[in-house]
Amino acid sequence: MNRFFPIFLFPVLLLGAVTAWANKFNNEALDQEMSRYYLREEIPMPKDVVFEPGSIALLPEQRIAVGTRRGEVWICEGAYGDDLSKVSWTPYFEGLHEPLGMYWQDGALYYTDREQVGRMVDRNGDDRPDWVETISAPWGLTGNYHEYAFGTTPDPQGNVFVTLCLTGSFNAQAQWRGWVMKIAADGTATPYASGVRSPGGIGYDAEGNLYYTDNQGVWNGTSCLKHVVEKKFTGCPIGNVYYKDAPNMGPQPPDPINQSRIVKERERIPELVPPAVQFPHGVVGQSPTAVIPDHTAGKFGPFAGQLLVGEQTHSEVQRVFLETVNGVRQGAVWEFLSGFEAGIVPMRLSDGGTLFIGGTTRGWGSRGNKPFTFERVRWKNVVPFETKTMEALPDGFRLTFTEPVDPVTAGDLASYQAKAWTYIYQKKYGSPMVDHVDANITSARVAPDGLSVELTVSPLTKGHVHHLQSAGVKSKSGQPLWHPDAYYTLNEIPNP
Amino acid sequence: MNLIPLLFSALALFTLTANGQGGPVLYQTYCSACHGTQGQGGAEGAAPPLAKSLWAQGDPDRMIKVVLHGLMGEIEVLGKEYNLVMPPQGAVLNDGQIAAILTHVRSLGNGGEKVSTDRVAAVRAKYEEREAYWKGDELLKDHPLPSPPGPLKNLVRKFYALPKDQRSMLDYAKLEANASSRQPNGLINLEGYSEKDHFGLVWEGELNVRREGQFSFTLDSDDLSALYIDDKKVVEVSGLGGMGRAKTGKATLHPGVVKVRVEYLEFTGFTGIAASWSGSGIRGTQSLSSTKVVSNQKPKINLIELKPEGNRAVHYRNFIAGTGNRSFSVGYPGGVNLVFNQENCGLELLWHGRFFDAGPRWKNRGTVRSFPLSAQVYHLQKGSPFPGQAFSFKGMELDERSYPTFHYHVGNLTVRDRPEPNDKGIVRTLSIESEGASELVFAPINSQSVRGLNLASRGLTARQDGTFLLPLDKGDNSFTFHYGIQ
Repeated sequence: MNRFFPIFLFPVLLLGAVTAWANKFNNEALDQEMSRYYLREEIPMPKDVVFEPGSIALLPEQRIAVGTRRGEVWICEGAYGDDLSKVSWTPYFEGLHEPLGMYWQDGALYYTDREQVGRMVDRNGDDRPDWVETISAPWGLTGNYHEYAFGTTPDPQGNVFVTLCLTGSFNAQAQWRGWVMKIAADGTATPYASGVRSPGGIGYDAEGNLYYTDNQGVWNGTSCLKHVVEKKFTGCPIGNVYYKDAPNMGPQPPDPINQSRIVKERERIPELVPPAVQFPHGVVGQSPTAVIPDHTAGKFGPFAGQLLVGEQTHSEVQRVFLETVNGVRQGAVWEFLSGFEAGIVPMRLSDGGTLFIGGTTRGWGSRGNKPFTFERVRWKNVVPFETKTMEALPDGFRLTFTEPVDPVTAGDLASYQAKAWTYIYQKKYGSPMVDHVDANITSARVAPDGLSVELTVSPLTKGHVHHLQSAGVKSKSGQPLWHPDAYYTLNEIPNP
Repeated sequence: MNLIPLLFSALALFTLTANGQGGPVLYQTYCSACHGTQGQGGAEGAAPPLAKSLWAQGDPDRMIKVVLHGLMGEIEVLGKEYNLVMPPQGAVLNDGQIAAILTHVRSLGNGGEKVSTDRVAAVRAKYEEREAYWKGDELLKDHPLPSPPGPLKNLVRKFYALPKDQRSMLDYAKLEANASSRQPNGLINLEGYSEKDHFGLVWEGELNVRREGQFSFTLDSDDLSALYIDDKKVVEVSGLGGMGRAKTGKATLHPGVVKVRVEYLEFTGFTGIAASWSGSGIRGTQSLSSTKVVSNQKPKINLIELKPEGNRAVHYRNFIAGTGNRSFSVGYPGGVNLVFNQENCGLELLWHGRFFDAGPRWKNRGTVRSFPLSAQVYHLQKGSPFPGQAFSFKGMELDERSYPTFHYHVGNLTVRDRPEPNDKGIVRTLSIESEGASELVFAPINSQSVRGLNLASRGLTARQDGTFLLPLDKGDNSFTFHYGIQ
């Protein structure tokens, strides 16, 4: 028994306890506010099954297929219903290898797992596949646990895109590790883009542009959403040894210079596509995953056309607005939905506006502390007061809002704060925030309808993340913003 | 009363601390998601606890190195094994931030000793070129975990240089010690002697017995050792040999102080000694030595056993020991199991008995290959069973019991390959569709070491090299091979 309580420790312990409590309170307050706009519900999972969702496919007649990290596929009925106690599950198959991409098309369940793009067909209608087909298996494997493969739904031509994690997330000992491959419907595989490190998901925006999320690490200062452009390079050069096998890609681009900046290396490496949106590490999550568009035209709230990005560690969903400036995709990220029970990996949004998310915590920690979860989120038809979009202007940003702003607070410069920074582009793991710039907001012009504000920001720094905090802005009804912090990655500044 | 503004001002205060790089806030931002908000460790063993952990105590360089360069592989924390990856933070966090975080971690039941920015800077400078992750044993070699003082009071260790032919225990009382030292850490240890040969050590100390009862003493050594309580021998490890020969002896003791003497003899080679006791008034087993006694009963059971259910075959696809990285594993009711490697269209593994342990793949990140749960697995193939032919795998047809028929192309032939289990092994039927008359060389077994397996084919004879020449007519051709594995 320790008779002498170390009194000198008390203030430190108190500080720690209060901080943890304050964080908890902060998270709980956000969850509580979320519940005014969005209803998050846990969907009962198959009993006594280690479920660990890795992929979700939406099937006809409101059925859902979930592929688990253990390689099982289950079919769910009732997940759209009002009474979730009526949800039922049927085992479909158990022999996939950690599927991280799944979709339904023409009576077949297509999947991307560690080994291949394939499909399962149930011809006799007994809810079990009688044909499991390998469509394409063009990439190498060494048997390392980090050799994940994430696959998309098909594009209009029927192609599936697969993003391939580096072996151990550090090397490209096996072929095409660190690449995005295009798999045509007939199984033909074509190297599509290079530069991948450790992806967490892949998907399209509402216009059909392709993106994947890449996690902070070597040659990736902070986690980000990367725009995948055919024959281009997304930033991590480790997989570039395979240009020798990719004549369609053209010559291998020069390697980036270590400890440079992306904005600088873009001048040297024309193939380099900068991350469309960087997610500041620890601030806006730290392990982004699934990428899906809100294609519901308003059924999931006022953010139609924007991207939703899953977040494993923080058990959140982020919201991303994108635009094209000088031919480059870029935009802003906001924290959005939070409080999920495990680390989010797959997401799907139904046409009717139900967001299905799967979570797993095994191997990687998450704020949600259940080992796995399957949940849904629906909009309650209550519009949250949020910054809807943040567009770059030659001298600042235009914000649009989900409802009219109070012109006094929205026109007050003191309602806003802006800072900018970037990350070191280096072969070391991650980067601190560097090259800090204090940006001044010199004017705030509120539109007559109160739905937008144009801010003059000086200076704008090309290549920097611009953090805009609009904590003072109130809606006409006096509400503050649900999420006042936006992070815009300014790859390009629009021409005047 | 409205508490909310108060709470938010508390938040504002801590946001301020974050800007000032306060350890608790930095910890919450960068560490808590995996290691828990109070350092209690992550859910599902996602990351080891940091609170009250020996890893976070003593020499601060151990923790500084982990944060700067990362840590990979097996470690043991608070009695639990982890095999994970801690990503390096040296490029993300500066020296002051790391010092603040580690000082906070030290406050979580780890003694509270501060970690200075200078110390972090010094370690960073010393290992400036390092890019590799640290391994646990590498760190512990340079920065051993502090050991809490052991239970042996007034412990004295005596050293005896012995002649080179001394292989058996001797009466140390008749010898004069070459050296003697007090051991304030209260644990039997070989510190300073672990690299030497031909020597003896004797430890003498006292144990406090709280309650009357029977006590067990366990002893293990490389080479010889014996343990005495009040000059009575309780247990010994006799004969030259390595660690892993632990013996247990019992003694009935009365409350009060008892004398403990441990004698040890090292001939040549590896060294080691471990001792522990258990009994009334002791929680579990208490170590009497700095090396812990390892139970002779290995291995650890960490099994997730896959089995067929009812009349259905069970399927498993993962990274499997002894085959390629794209393989179908099938376990049939009745106990026949096989692995078909789609990368060479070969039936590679065949065995009878239990199917697979998926534990190595389904726990934590899954860093170890899965292996069949049988001592006798027939490795049938190395390379393709169709020498010199181009082949491509198509897929797997499943019947109502989930039994597969593998479909693939060999040259321009279409092959359906159906294994059917029976009580003697499997009957494998190849149905080959040919566009014209030709022949195909097939090697149902092409590895050299398949003892105890009988292979027979109806109407075909193996050639000298073990291959079969399959005659093909236009249309469907069928060939049957019996693999007897009993």
